[in-house]
Amino acid sequence: MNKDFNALAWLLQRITAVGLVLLLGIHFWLLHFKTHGEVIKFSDVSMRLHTWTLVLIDICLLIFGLYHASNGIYSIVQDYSVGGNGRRVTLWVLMCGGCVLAIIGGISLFRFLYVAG
Amino acid sequence: MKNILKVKVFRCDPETDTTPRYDIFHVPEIKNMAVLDVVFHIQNNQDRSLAFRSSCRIGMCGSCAMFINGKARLACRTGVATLGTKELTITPLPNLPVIKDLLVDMDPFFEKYEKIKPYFIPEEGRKDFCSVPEGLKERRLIDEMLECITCGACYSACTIVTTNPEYLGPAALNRAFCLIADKRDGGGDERLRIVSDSNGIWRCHGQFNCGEVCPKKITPTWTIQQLKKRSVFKMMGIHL
Repeated sequence: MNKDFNALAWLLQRITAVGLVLLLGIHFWLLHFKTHGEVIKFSDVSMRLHTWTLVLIDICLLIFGLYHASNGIYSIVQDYSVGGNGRRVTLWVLMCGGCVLAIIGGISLFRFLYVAG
Repeated sequence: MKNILKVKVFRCDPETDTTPRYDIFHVPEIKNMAVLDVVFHIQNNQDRSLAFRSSCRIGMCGSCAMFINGKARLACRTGVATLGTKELTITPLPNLPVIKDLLVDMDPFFEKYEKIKPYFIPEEGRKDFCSVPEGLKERRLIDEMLECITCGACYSACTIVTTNPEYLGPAALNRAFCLIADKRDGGGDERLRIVSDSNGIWRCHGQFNCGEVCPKKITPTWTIQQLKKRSVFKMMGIHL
């Protein structure tokens, strides 16, 4: 594996960690203080996700979370001394899986802006 | 009446034994007794076949590192009184193959040490001597980390070495940092490339187990973080 790839992956893991702390903070704050009533209703969420800013926050949360989790799993695989082929397969599975989940998540969020309610 | 120590010692001769066992010895405690004195007492008076390694007896050579009461320590620098118990359990260092009893094969440890080119490589083209004055921060950093006696305690305490035997380990990475941080050395770039491998610095997750057991109070976790920082800056084209 390219040495710069390792350094970049490590740096992005740190950046996404900081990003996740901030974005999760915003996410929890919205859920606890900006939700009317005690029960979270679909209509409330739908209404909130009509705002571009909130959709953008959730998109960032999705991408940061997916990168952080996938790279974390890949790191564990490397920690357990999985051989060259195993590492490559894991990397590709995680990259493809991550992309698919990002697309599904992204489409779901954008549907609130353009389609829902 | 003398205090009697109950000493449980790991015994195994891979050439003849199918499974390892523990032998229990009773050793009379003497004032200022070190664990090395305990194993020497057993070897001299109770079982001459007990195998272990030792040399300087003053914590300089790093050859008597053992796993004493659940922690890697130098047997010569560990006072029995400091353990706070009269029951001792002594086993060989984890993460290294056992040759016999408390004696481990240090080859895997030194093979990794060799990989990082642990020797000074003079900078090309330099004609004059280069001195690094004592007060400089760079000098203080390196001086502190040079104390390593390659006893292997950090290597045996590292959980990543346990799961990934290819990981370079704390001692080798600490040595690499000493040379990379030394401005007189000409092999820094190559060394940084070696330690930036996926089985190098990126495997350290900052558990501080290495620093916890180091008899010289070095914290390799810190030096590994410095290497990560240098590697990231190098990727960005910035040379520290």
